Amino acid sequence: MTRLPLFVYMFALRCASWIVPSDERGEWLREWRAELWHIARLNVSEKIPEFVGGAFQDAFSLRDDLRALGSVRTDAFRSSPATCLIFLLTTGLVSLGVAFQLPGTRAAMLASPYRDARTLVVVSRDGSSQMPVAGISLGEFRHWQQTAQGVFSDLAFYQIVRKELHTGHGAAVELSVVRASGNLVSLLQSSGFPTAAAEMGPRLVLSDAVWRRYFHADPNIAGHVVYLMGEKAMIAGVAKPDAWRLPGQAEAWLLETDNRMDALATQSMGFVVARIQPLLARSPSRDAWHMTVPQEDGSVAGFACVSVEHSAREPFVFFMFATLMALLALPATTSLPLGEYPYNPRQQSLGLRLRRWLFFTAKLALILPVVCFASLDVAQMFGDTQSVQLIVTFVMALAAFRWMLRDQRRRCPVCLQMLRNPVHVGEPSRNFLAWNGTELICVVGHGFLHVPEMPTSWFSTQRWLYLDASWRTIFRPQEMARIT
Amino acid sequence: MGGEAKLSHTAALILRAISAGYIYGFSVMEMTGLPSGTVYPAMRRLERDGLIQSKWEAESIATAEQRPPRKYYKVTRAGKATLEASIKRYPLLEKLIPQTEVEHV
Repeated sequence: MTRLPLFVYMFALRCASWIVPSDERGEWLREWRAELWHIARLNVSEKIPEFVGGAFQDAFSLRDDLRALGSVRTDAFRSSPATCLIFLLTTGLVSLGVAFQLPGTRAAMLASPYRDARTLVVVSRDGSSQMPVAGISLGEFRHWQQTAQGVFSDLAFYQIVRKELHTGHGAAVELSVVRASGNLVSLLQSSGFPTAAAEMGPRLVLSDAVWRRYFHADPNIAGHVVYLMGEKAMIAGVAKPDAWRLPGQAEAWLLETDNRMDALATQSMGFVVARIQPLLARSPSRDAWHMTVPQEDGSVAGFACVSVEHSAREPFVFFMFATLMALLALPATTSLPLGEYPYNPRQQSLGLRLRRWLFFTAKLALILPVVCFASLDVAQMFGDTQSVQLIVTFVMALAAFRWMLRDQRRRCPVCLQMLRNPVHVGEPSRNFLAWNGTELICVVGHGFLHVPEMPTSWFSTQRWLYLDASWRTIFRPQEMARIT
Repeated sequence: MGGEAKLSHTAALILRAISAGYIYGFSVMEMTGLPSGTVYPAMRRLERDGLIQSKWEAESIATAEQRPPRKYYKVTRAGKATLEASIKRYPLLEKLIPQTEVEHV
């Protein structure tokens, strides 16, 4: 057999090295090349092809070993309690991030921009307070302005209208405009709106988004005159982001003069926002009032006056209610006991028990914000946000609590790793003679978990069996020793 | 329950060869008659299990002799205990590879 040049074998080794994972490749190739160099020097050329052929076998073997070790590490990583908490924390942060991106959800989480938000109320007709709609006529508003001074210190009326705004140079955009009585901004007492002196004509306040998008964030925009549906309006300034927390979507606010408000039809429907008299708002726990108004036909109409502060808290009240409902429904979906863990002074010390309960508490503490923010995020996609939030929170909280209990039951009480290798033991037909169920193992060797298939009076819940140190050599081979 | 790992005959043979002073992969192959595709994976697993440990020889020595540095292996304390148990299990090991103090290239 003709001897091939050494570089051919070196090239073959280089090819074999590509089978080896990159982390180990350099050292692997270095050893094989060094050995090949020495064999070549010993003049045993007939052995070289076989030697190089073995390099391929070794490369495949090393790759398989590393993969097996990698899968053990991956399993250990997945079942680690830290991974569980990191996953929950990440999910919570993501849902919080999404919540801050959605305007409706962000408004619920930020503090109210209005001074004394408890006395600032939105008046709505009875039965419509959960979903505020433009249900108050301008005539009723005018009537209250004159007769309800004992209830309200100030009132403002607004409607949401679609109007075409001419931004200049022939360009026009259609915006959702809050057409309001001139006192709206002063009534809100918000630092988010520009303060502008009363003018002869209507004043327009732009939202931050409209100002940036259509007016290129012009810092000298105040005082400019624009055309809104062909009528002149002077720009009074730009409202800060999140300044508007009242019902209705607003991209601009048109503050009308009294004359122009008087010219509007009495039947025009809109929202009424008011400041409740301080005497009525003395009780700090009260943030909703009921008002009855005699009608011209002799009947009595009821109105709900709900404070803006109350409305801002509503998503969280709904969340707590739905979570409570989920807790009540939880026993119908899974058993509540976490299992029997017989006292073992070495493996179940106070510190270990505390650690187990801390892990359980940490899961609960991380799951609640995840459910809260995620349900708020989902609810924003639908029109009826309150109903959707209730349903989504209930379903998510129920699933989350169920998972939390089941996850806790499937963990080793000592190391909190997920138990593995489930094995079915016994026969269902012999349930009354011997136990029948599933047995799981802690891979580190702390013990076995026996889960009965059918709860009986003598084996009602899962039981943990501790193993002593003599078992460790079976359960803790070298690979596990490295990862634990 | 014994603490030593139970080795296959091949692994015990390789461990014995290293213990006997055949400290390089090729010298182990020569001594045992096993192919490279068996010897190197076995040595890697013995090292993973802590029975042998490898070390690269000093670069300066290899450079002085104008050759690439080699990786050599030696038996650890755990490896010695395992080898003793293996010799009891495979008595012919000692006869196949007698103990020497010389490092074989």
